[in-house]
Amino acid sequence: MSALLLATFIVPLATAALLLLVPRRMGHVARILAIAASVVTLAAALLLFLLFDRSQVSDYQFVSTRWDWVESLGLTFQVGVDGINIVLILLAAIVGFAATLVAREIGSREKEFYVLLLLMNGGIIGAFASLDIFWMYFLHELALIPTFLMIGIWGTGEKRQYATFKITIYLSVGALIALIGLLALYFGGPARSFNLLDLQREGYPVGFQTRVFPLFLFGFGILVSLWPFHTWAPIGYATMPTPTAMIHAGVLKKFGLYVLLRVALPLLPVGAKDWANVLLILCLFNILYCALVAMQQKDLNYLIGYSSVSHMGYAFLGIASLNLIGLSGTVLLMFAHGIAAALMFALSGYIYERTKTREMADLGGLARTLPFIATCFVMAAMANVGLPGFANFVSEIMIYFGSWNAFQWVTALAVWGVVLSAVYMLRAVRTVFFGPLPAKWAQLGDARTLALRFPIALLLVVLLLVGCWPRVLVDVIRPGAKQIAAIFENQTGVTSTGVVAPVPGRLGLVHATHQPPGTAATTPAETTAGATK
Amino acid sequence: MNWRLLSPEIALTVLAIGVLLVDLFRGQFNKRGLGYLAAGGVLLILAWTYCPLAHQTTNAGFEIGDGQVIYQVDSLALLFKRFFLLATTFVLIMSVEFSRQIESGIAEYYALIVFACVGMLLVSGVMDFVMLFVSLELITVTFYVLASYLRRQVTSLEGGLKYLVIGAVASAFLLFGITFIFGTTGTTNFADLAIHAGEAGAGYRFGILLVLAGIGFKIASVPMQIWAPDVYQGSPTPTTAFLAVGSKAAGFALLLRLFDSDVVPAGAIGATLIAVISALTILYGNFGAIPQRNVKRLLGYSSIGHAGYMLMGVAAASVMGTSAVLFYLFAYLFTNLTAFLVIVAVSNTVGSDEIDAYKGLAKRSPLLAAAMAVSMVSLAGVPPLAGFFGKFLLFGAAWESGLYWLLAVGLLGVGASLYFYLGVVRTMYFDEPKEPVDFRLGWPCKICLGVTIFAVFFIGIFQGPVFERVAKAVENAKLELTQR
Repeated sequence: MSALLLATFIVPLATAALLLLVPRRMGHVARILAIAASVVTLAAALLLFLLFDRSQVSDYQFVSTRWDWVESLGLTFQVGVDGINIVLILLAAIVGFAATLVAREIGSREKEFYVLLLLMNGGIIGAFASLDIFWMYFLHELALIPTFLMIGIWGTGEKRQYATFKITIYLSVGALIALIGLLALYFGGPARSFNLLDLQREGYPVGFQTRVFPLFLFGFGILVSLWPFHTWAPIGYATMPTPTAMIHAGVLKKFGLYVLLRVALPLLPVGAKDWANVLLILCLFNILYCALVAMQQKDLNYLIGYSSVSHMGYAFLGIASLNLIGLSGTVLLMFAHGIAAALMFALSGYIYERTKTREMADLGGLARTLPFIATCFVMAAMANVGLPGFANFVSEIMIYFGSWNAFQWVTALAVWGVVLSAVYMLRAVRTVFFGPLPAKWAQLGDARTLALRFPIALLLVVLLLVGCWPRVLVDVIRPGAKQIAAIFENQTGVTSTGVVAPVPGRLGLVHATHQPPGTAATTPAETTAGATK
Repeated sequence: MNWRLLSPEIALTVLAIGVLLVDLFRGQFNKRGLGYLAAGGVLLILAWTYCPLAHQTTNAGFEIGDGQVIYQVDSLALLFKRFFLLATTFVLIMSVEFSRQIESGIAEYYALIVFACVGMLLVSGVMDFVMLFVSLELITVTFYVLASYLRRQVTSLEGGLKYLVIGAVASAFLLFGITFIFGTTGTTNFADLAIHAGEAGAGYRFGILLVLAGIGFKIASVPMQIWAPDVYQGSPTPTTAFLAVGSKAAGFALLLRLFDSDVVPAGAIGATLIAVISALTILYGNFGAIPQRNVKRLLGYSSIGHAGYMLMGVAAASVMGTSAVLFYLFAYLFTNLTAFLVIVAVSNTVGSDEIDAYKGLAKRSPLLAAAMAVSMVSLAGVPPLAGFFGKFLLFGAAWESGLYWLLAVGLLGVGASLYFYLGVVRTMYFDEPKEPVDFRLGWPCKICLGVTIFAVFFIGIFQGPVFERVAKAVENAKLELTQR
């Protein structure tokens, strides 16, 4: 069954290679192939999601064989999913499909654009599916590089060269810091392995954990636009072509959060506890300060960009809470925000394509000429604000519950973020879509054809579906999040020898033969984790 | 004495003299053909090193006098020899492409490249300081001529002169250091010195310091890096390429040899010194490159920066570190050759090495632009290209040996380097071209470009084949050392 999982990222990557052979002038062939690849990817991801065994509590599923890559280094390649990354793979497949459809607006060098888009899509899904931290990093970088080229070549706006440089340097430096963290895990543990299944069996010394965790926190923090390293995000999103912005804001940015959840928290639990307070303060700035900055924006994409930065604060808040409901909420938020951000950028991209401006002062009254876009935008804005009925609401509520358990009055402050987001979102809706309609926009064409409406409608339907029936995802996420939360919720995680016990549960199932003696005693009671919900 | 160990060197010398003779007696012989002949000969010798006859007794050294091994071919030396032969082949083909810019004496140019290669091969197996000095001088003196080959160009002459003056100073340092070592221990043989190194006094250490300074000139590390930007800019492009991939690697072969055979006193002093030099070199190279407007000069600074990264592996003083340096050399070889092949093609057509000449290259020649972009991105160390895994290994080795502060410096260097490497990519892809020009490349050059680009990707994605070979060579060399 792992073939299905491999297909989710090998199909787009192989199609990208295939596209290189397509003659340059046959842009439409490139488009058809790219769409076909993204359909296959989406189908594979959906099938995986349906076949995913929800009753199994604590194991990776669809685990592939472990291929040796560099034997003397212990570098292997293996994929597998649990409740956390299957949701993200689904997210990547949905957003990737929608972005490929939206890419119709790209006018020049279509072939190259689709090659890069497929690289982004395949790379990030591979990074999510990989069980080796080396390949997580490698494939994520593979997905990240096209972003820079795409801004430079197809980007919009005056500042695009500056934006290219800024985003490249910020993200590359962030990734490098994170890389050192990953190297530390490899050289710091006795296993000398990049494989998560091996690393989870090891315990790292307490001092080591405290020293290494900040590398993850800040390295991946930069990638997720943690305050004060967030300034690349708004300008980056304002200059990216629409499909790139959709995949980057929707999917790529979630990678940093994913590694924090998947690698940093379980392997460095003591470090996570030590640094939770720092993270808490920084994420408050994300939530409140960046929301205030968003209120000042005049450019629609800057506003969406700051709003996205602000929402990443909620995700960090959920991580800092270190309990089941908070962590599950974070994963759900990653999904919900991914879809919502992609939707917002798709809509704003459509408006830009028609009006060639994103200055909100220039726009106005567009609800009359673009009724479909306006309706969808209002709904997307409501989703972003966190209105019940949308997936974002469920995830934010879960995060607040989780963080309330951990630290009450920070949560009380953070909730104001919702109010602020309502202010800037509603203001954007009012300036862009209502009020007097300038004469020059009277002849704008709405998205009338199915091809134009479908990607937008798809994203909106997913948001509503998950919002009304959150269990479809939560039931999948919970067992995965429970694995991580269990380490923190029972305090026996730290053994008397000062070495942190390995992740319980997974151990016995995956590598029963290698179970070191004595770990059975530290297996936590699953009931404590469940009691919080 | 086991002459068979010297067979590649002897064959290369014969080849070089053969090239000169052919040119002498058949003056009208096709000049391009002569270059391809030389390249083919070097390639044949490369194939010969894989023949078991060439090195049946790898471990037995070439002895002189009363059983003193002055030259030996262990697995590490063999690896380096193959590396140099490979590099020379590519550089010769590049020279053929470049030959239209050289007024006269192209046959001598080919011959000198082969002679320099002989020196590099010798350097990889030296076990004695006298032997070291002679083989190193063979490289350096040939490069004095190679650097100033464009006689009518002031920049080339200036570069050659700078290389000569600083090279002479470096040689003096080296020789001065050797006299100190000989004076305090009474021997120049590595095997004997390894015994003395443990209880060595200040005189010996001072000698080692001077020797390291002399080698620092070859690898262009601080404080002996001053020549690099000027010489890289002024020299004929194939010379520059050979300086970057051949001469630098020869310096590292020596450095690793000195550390591995325990000639440098064991203990922290040597490693700490190298670590400090590494940090300064990284900073100098990467920050110096930022304002550059000439591609070759930029690569000159970049080569200083990369010497700094590789010194991280030497400073790590571990099996991991040595393997990392070797892997990096291979990654650097293919990456740099790609860049220099493009530079030759562009300067042949446009007649300039300024970065402005690359404006809109993507629209004029997608192949060349893509090749240059791949090379720059690999130099910056981004997956899935070869440079990434090289840096990954070096940084890993530094972490393993606890050089955390050096890692931080390395990070700073990579951050800065992204700016100027991507600056070149930006110029090629985002700027508008000045005027349309046709780019023509000879087919051997096209094949070379194809091979190097493929190698940059292949090594980057399937790191195993190269890394396993390299790691095995390092392991074996260690083993052979303990067996003696």
